[in-house]
Amino acid sequence: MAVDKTLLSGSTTMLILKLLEDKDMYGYQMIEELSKKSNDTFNLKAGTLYPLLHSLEQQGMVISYDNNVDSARIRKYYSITKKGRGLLADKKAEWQTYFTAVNRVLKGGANLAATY
Amino acid sequence: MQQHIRVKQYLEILCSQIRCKQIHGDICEEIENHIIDQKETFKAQGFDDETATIKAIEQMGDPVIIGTELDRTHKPKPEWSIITLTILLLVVGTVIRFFTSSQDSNGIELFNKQLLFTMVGIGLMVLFYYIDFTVLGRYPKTIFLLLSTVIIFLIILSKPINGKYIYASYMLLLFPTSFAGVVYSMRNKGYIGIVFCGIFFAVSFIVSMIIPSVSSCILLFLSCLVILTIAILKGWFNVKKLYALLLVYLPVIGLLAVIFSSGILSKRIALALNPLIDPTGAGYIGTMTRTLLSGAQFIGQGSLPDYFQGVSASQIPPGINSDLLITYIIHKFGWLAFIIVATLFTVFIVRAITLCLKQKSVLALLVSTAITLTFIIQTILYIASNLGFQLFAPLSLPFVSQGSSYLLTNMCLVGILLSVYRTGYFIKDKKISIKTATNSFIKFEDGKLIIDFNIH
Repeated sequence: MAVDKTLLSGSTTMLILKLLEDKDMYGYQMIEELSKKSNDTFNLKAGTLYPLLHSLEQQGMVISYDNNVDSARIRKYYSITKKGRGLLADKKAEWQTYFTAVNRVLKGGANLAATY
Repeated sequence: MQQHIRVKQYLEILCSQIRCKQIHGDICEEIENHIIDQKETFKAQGFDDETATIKAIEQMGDPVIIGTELDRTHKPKPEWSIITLTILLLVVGTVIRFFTSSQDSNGIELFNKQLLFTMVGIGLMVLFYYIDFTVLGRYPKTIFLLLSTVIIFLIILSKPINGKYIYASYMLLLFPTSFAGVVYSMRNKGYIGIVFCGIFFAVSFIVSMIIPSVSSCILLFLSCLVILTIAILKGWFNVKKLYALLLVYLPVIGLLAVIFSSGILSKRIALALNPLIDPTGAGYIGTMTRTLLSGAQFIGQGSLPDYFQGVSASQIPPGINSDLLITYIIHKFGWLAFIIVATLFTVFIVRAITLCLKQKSVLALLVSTAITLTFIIQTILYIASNLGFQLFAPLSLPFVSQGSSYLLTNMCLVGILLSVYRTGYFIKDKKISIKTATNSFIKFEDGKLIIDFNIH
């Protein structure tokens, strides 16, 4: 199921960092993996991914290097840094708080409706 | 090749949105790889090549939007810390020279001249700031040759002053930066590359000897050695680091051993440590410097020994507008003035080194290190000499000391340095595939020297 784009945009940084936590990847691979892991829910656009990756690199959250292990072409791989792992932990905590709060409101709303 | 043209057009539109040109190649490659990957996926789903390409490009999204986004991320940023520190040092220099000019008969004339050259210098700094510094890595031999030719012409055309070709000597400050470009161009050239670097160094060293400027020789020697060492440690020559370091340092140790055993240096060191062993001869200026400093206060005007009765500090040779600017300032205003100047230089140097270490591309790293070293060595030589330790004659105190030619040269260098800090982050060293990396004519492996006639 495709979801509203605005829902995805806030958490894209977290999702990308999470992907890189397991292994180093190149851009296309990230989109594929994200789509696979989310049962095609997250369809990240290249136009969103690369500016985000490049700015994460400038902030020192990820580093990039060239490699041609998987194919004849030299690809640009990204690797998460220690600083990036710190950001991921923060983002996860932030997401948890948000997620719990949204859930509580939704449930509260349901309970409230039931009482009336 | 319809598809290729479509991809090319897409990339052209995307890149035209990105102002920082140095990064275009890198971005194009990454995006093109992405399109090819996407195209292959579509082809695997049964689409023909043409349709797969069109679909893959569609999938990418609007190139103008991506380009604009990337432009925002890769906006060159001026390095305000170094710009501010340079301006502060220029102001401090102007204030110091304003004071010294009032103590000297032709001081005002000198002050005005230097002020005019400060303005010209700022212009040069701005000019070099906007020039793409990667030319140093693209045309290293041409630049080196051009620089050497200019210096040799200056030697031939100018007359020596006090036995020294003054006008040619200023240009020597540019050698380390040019050398950084030469080292950069020797990537994967193996031991022969290191030997070539040695030859380039030797040429610049010999030119410095002709001038003759021992201090420039020291500056060149130290900065080139550091640049070469960094390149070796970065694996730039693609050889065993230990052997490469031995190749560089064994001749260096040999050379130093010859110089030390000749006894010339030990005499100079003894004199620098204690100029009073020859107060009227070679130790004269050293003795005067120490006399001026010994009477200095922490704050305020210092005193002179009794035998200088009726003589002001500015009249003591070698004169206030000489290379002893800082000595006179310490004597006149106290050590606090020195602490302020020294702090400014320390902050400048520490900041410059920190920024050098942050450089990702080897070219940016080598060029910024070369320039920073040129500033560091000049500063150390000048301050040491002004504090009474005169092992080598000072060249100049960057941005502060008297002398318009040194000022202009240093302003060009700081302009290049700022250019590196501004765009160096985006520079990527030219890629060389793994296969060609070991393609060198002469290889040294497992203790064997291999000459490979079978390379293309």
